[in-house]
Amino acid sequence: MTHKNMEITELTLTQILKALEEKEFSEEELNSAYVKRAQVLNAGLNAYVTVLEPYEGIPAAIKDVIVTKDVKTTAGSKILENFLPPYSATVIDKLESHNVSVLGKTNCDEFAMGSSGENSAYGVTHNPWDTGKVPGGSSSGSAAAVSGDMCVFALGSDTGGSIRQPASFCGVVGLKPTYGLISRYGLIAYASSLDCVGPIAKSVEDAGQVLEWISGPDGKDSNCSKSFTFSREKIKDGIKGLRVGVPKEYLGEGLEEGVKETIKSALSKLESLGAELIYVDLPHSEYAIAAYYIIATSEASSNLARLDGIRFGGNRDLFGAEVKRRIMLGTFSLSVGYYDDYFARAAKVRTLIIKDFEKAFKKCDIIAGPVSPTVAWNIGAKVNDPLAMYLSDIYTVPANLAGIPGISVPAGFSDGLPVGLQFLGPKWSEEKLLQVAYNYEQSAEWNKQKPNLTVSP
Amino acid sequence: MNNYEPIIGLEVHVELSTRSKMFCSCSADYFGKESNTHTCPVCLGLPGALPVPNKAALENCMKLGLALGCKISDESRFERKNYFYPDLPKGYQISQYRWPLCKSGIVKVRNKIGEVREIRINRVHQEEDTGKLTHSGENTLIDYNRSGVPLVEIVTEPDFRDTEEIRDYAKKIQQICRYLGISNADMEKGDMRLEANVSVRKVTAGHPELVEGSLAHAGPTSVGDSSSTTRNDMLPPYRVELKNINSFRFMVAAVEYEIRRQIEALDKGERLIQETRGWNENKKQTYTQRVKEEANDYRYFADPDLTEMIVDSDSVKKTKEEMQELPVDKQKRFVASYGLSETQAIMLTDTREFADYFEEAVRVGKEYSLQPTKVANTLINKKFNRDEILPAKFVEMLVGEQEKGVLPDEELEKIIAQAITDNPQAVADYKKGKESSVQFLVGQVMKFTHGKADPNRAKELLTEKLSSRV
Amino acid sequence: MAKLSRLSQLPLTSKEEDAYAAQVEEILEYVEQLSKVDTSGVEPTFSPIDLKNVTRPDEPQAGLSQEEALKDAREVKNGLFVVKTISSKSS
Repeated sequence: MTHKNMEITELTLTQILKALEEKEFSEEELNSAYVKRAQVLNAGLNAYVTVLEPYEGIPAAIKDVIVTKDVKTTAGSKILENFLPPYSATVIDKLESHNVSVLGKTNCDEFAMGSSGENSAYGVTHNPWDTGKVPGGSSSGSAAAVSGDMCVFALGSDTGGSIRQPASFCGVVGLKPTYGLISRYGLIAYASSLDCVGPIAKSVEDAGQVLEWISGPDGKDSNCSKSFTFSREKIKDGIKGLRVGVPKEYLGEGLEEGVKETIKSALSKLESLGAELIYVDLPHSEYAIAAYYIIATSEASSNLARLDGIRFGGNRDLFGAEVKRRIMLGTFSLSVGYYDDYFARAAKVRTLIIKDFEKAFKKCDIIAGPVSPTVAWNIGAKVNDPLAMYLSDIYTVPANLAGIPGISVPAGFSDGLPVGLQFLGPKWSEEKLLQVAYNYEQSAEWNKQKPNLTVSP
Repeated sequence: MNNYEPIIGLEVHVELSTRSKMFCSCSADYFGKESNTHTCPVCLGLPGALPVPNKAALENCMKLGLALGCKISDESRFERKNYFYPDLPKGYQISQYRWPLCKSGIVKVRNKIGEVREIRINRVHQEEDTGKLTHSGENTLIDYNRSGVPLVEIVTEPDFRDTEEIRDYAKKIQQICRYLGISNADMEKGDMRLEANVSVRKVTAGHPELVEGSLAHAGPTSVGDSSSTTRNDMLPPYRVELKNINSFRFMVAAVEYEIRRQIEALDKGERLIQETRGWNENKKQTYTQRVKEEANDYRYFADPDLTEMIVDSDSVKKTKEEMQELPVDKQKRFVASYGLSETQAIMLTDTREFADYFEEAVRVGKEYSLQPTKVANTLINKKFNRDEILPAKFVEMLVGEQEKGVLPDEELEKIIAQAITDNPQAVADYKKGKESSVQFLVGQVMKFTHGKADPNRAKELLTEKLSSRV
Repeated sequence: MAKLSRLSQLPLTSKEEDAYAAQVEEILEYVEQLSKVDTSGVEPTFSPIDLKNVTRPDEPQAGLSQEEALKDAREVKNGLFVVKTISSKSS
């Protein structure tokens, strides 16, 4: 398999692994190509906060909420401007043991709080498909970097959709694993019971490979108990007879027309591949955002208390507005007198949402639907309306509340911008998710399109 | 003049002597070590770090709870206690609040007049220690070596009524911790810390007066059985916390001072406020450290980084069986199996080491038909270094002495009876409380037997005989 | 709002207090809708994972060196972290 007509930087991880094995090019050439492209394009896209210059291994982009030993880790915040962690996250150690190198640390919404990529202290990240648009968030830089071929693959984190939504906006694959599959040791915590590290990649096969590399218990995360074994063969199995559930609540009001049409088209495609489409009910969907924002901000208000400027970092007045807002919201929800009506109640609604999924998965194998109600919006359009921003997470937060895995695959375009199709599965069903996503991806071939970015030699 | 009774509750923190810390694998042996050399991302509260609980620490907490008569909760959780302070690196302490590991126990203590009273234990739960602060000019210096070391917190209901009970309680806790081998529980070293909540209430004609709206002494939430609520209804509307007092002696002094201060104030018609006070040893007074205008809002919530703990009755049973025999049970056994008196049993079980030594000596002594009571008496009265002279050697010595022909008990008793009859003044003095009269009588017995009697045995028999006389 | 700012240790100017108050209130109004849900008899979910009793053995292991522990601090002195003394424990 030679790629004479493709640039090294256009290749997928899967292709690169093969090419390296067959000595088509060296790791040095590989890194050199990606480093150069990253450095040049970053000026316009601002996907990276830090770009390193590795010369060996497979160069990956790491979201700046994942600590890397002795490499500046900012979490997109001014408060960690000079933070050099004395240790690396487990996922980094695992990747390095598989010959992956860190190409750079990607920009993100501050402390992973945001859905657009506009909440970073290090500037806005731009969508490679249209630099006037947001790339989505909070893993904005990681998605943009993959989309712009500025890395072979990236790691992001997903607390309320932060891998899937930017993947959708940037036309790449984004996978949020089952909560507990990937160790969170070294992931700067936003919401402890919702946070998941996951791959953002150029193809479904790539995502599966990275997932295997980073998964597995390490004895340092009490909640991480299982591993994932990736089978290239299994994902190629056909999806004939697969029962695909479509939530009634997801195709109603609020979904932009262009996105709706794209999703419907994608669902038809699934049918043509042999899948059986079934309507399912997720009756508590409308309460997901409220429950999410109470739980996430409550946990965050506590997680960010360690930033007191004593052992590391700057003063707390350096937090950005969105972070301050969420900390206060969380502090409020946990306060004496409010805990029962806010936090405890949200935790109960969470149980009901979990039960909704359990019931739905009795009727179907996989749920399919949109990732976001709209495509990427103009930079600056929603910054002054935090609530409007929150409401755009409607299709993604339920998976975090339930701890179930979800994947976003490119499903077409609307108004010239990428639209992602989301698959959700029961806990530990990554294999099935990858299988249906792979089948769709291969037949629809959206991944063959790339954004129009020029890099002068 | 109004009569008041003190209403005192105690909170004890015991630092466990596990090898590693509560939520990370750093060495827990921090005492005297160079600052900040026993830390890791977890106990330093660095971004991205996560806790994993120490299995042995949890077992120790359960053992302590069982030793204090508590019920072990089927389900318990860790919660975050959120507040900001430089010695708290995460900005929260991992502790337990709504779902503690152990609840509702009982400890028996003796008061000033020798009565046995029951102190109810509200809860025994697991948490972690903070770093250590030292002050230097306008700066505070922090060492995090101690941050994350396992702590067990024991909270009582406000059942204490005098400082003798407090003394007895603290001693018992220390003894149990040492027996279980889970902590040295030494207040001077800081591995046992005491906090007292002190208030007083009027007692008219022997009945405590009802005071409205008084939940000042109530525990964190309604843990413990419902029978406690009746007593809680009659609690004073305030309480004074005595904190940061590092020696037991000072704590007792502070409590007694507080009781007097509060009574004085109430007699004058003053209102007492909820506050935290410390002890000034120089002035021999308590002083205000902090006034609590509002209860601290710790915003407790279940820590999502930690899993729930489920304990079934089988594992509780297993832990009970594996636990070291407790002092109280050992005492009962010594009395039943070896024919010792209660006093002897209590003395021999002062430490586990002493008790084990005694039992080993009895075991070895069996071959020589050595009576356990003889072993007991000699051990109690003879001062020697038990580390240097092992039980076998001790028994050898004792047997040797016996063979020398020490006077047997029957003979001795006759002589003692004679001594008592011959020395009525000494007997009368003893009855009046003059302890040294016994020595005089022993001397008389020794004189009579030409030194052949065992002076310790003589003293014992004498004391028994004298005490049993009307 | 002042109390929240204090509890969260987020110093705010009074202008900021007003601005945040308005936004936070708007969000709180939105989340009020949860009170419409019938949660009677429903157990809260604090974590989506079903694991119980996860612990680790009591084995000490090496951690960070003193140098590593101190290196990101703003101020250190004789192997200790330094901070300006505050007057009282903040609640």
